[in-house]
Amino acid sequence: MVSGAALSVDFLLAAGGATLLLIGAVAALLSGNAIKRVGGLLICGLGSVAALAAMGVGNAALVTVIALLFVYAVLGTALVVRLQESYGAIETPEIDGADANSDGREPTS
Amino acid sequence: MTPAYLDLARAHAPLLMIVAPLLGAALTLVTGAARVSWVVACVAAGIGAYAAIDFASVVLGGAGQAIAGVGVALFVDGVGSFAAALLASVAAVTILAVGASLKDSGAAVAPLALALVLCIASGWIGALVARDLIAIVAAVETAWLASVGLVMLNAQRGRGALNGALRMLSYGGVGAAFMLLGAGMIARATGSFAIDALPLAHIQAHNLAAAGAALIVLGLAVKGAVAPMHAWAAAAVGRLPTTYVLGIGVLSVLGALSALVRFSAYAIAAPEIGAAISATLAVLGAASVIVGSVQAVGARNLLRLTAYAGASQAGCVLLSIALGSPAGFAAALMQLVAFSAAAMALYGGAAAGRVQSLEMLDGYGQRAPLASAAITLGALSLMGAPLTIGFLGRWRLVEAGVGAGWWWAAALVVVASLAGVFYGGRLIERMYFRRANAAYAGERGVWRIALAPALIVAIATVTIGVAPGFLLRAAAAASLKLTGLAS
Repeated sequence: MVSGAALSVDFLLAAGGATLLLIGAVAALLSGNAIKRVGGLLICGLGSVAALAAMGVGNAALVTVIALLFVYAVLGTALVVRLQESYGAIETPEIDGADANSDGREPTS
Repeated sequence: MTPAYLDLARAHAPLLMIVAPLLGAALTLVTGAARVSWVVACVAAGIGAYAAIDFASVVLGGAGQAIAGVGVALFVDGVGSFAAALLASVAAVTILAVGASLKDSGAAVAPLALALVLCIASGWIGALVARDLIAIVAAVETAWLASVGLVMLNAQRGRGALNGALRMLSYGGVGAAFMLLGAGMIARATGSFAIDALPLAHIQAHNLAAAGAALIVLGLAVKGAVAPMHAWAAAAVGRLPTTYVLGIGVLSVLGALSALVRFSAYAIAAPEIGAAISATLAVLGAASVIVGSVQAVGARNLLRLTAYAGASQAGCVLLSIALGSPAGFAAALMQLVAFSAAAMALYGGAAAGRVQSLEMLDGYGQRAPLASAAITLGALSLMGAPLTIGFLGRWRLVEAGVGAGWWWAAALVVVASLAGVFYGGRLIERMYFRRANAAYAGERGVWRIALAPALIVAIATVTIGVAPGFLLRAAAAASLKLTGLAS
């Protein structure tokens, strides 16, 4: 028999995880800095882990999610390093600007 | 001896179509040499495609093979078998075409790039035959992360690919988190992660289950480049004028849309949440048709134009699913075939001449006649011209929509086709009725034998459009065995 208090704690944990997920999602999509985007992704992923754990998901599923998060972190870090090497910047407006400039150099008819 | 092995392979076909590309990916990395690894990748993709097509023909042909229960973790249904066969075929053609870009990518990078394309195919096929929702998410993420890696590898040709990879990582990561949360919510509401339990479960927490299913739909829609969540697509493919673009623009998007069709089939079949999912899909589909069409009309880059047109086509797929009827699902499957054929023809034709901006198409008909023919046929199919498979897909959607009283959906299809006439016609006009731009006049088409598959696919858009019988029967059979319940 699950008590009402335990249910409310589960609910609060799940709601907290979902909130964390949304905060991370906003940072990952809207941040103007590549490393902050990767950080936002990790927060987003941690939020989903917390929410899943609060909902009583099994250990195998949680390990799968954590492994996924690890791969995202590795790939994201590698990407930030490559961006810094190629553009000399990790600010997304600067990167977008550089790409827009190179598009602008295309000859027109 | 050999027939015994073939029988064994047939008995485990769902597993084989996942494992063959994965083994091929490992072998391509071991071989090292670009050409050898390409041959190995072709063999692996060919085996996977053969297994998938053979299995789909058995399952959808009604030869009596049980649809469900092929293993503990796998669950094959009509949509899964149809889409897996399509996906495996597209993967095989992509690997063949990638042979043309081996030199461009560099000998050291080519084996890794080929391995990533095979991982993309294996991941999406896994998502189409997995039973457990967490397994589906894991398979989707395998494919997605391989896609991001493939885009990053192409940064050797131009740094712009890195910007696309960053967007893919951001959008895909958020989509993955949504899917995971959605899977947890569905499991909480139904008591199971199994996808086939969804239509049969007695769902008490309707809102929780509906929100979970909507989150999974949103996550897959992000990866399927459904507008307005498709910002990654144009950035990723827009600066990828090699045949690797097929791995992102066609294979990845097709995989995501197929997984979306499959998941929606189960979610809509659940009486407690079906209406909410149908409404979500209808809103997303309508938005995608309108936004994708408008952006395609305004695009100045052929690769981006194709990505936007793909978003419009993805909207039509979502509208078809939203109908929730077997006719709607059959229409969605037909449109998946139409999208993959048209996108392969357009991307393949563009890669042949390394075309990016529309200005580079001026006089392309003279410089690269075969590539121009592929682009023309792809554009005609995208605009839904009669006698092409694109027309067939949209006609089936109009039929299903009108049958269900969704006149507005039929009107949206007409709008998508009219926009297609505009942007598709613009491509044809530039290729055949303009002189080559001075900057590109000296460039000849670089059509190579490995790009022939794109032309063959382009011709197939017409031949299948003229004689679509077998495809219509397969799509109808798949839609009747939608959730694997009817065998």
